[in-house]
Amino acid sequence: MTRSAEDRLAAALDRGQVGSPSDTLGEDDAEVLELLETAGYLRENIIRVPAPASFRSELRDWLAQPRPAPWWRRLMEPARRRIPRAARRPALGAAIGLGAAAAILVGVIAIRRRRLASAA
Amino acid sequence: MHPNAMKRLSPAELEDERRLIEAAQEDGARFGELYERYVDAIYSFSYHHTGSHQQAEEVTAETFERALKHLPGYRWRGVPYGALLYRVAASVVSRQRRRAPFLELREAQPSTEAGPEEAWLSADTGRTLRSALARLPDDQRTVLLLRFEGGMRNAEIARVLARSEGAVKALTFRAITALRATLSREEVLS
Repeated sequence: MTRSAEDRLAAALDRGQVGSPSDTLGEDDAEVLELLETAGYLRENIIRVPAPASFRSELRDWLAQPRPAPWWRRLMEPARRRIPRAARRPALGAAIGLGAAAAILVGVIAIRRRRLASAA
Repeated sequence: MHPNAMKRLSPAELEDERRLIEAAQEDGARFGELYERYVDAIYSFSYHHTGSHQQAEEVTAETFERALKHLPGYRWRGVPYGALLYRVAASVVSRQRRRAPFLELREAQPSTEAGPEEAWLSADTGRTLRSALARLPDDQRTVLLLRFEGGMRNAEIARVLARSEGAVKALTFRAITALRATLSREEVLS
């Protein structure tokens, strides 16, 4: 099956990225060769602009400031300490949480209904 | 590989990064090590996107702030942490731009500290390339920056942008075609 110019360009760029030559392109693949020339120009001439030193250290200090954990994380802290990281199952935790929320909701509705019934 | 490209991690380095992320999840102070690893790459990506140091600083700061906030819920999938940071940075850039007129790509602005970009921008090559990149739509510029500045391959870019590999190939093709047209008009390329 003939690959599209997009596929051929992407494959050639990937090969270039790891340092392999794009020698699988034929001489008749002028369209892709032209684009590879443009890509080569970009690769050679774009530069990395490092973060200015003052900004870099300010941001690092700011990120290092202690931040209070959200209430739900503080609530979960005892369980978090007890259960090792490898044994944690977020899906199971979410299911338990949803189950607990549903049970509370059912309880609240039942209490309100009972109150309404006794008031009537 | 281009010297500016982000280093591709070996399996041992990936394992080291996984451990570092877990350590940072347990002790927030270790996040500084991840920060040092990626701050220049994210800053540079933001700078090329926005064309200004001030905006690059804002994007970089928000990117790392968001990353730190979501660090406890981060799950390792065998991909360098930089992929997540690039994804957040691209989303911050695009959100900021929608908020207009915050991110209007401008001509290069002087930095308060001398950096390599000053020499780059003072040369014809840098100025021409800068203006050619600025004319591209956001998503096309992002794809080019991830590939040529971030050193990523097609599949990696697709993962960062959460798009299909086919979509990334099409974007790359369109971006380079547009870039070629601009550079040819400027008589940089024949």
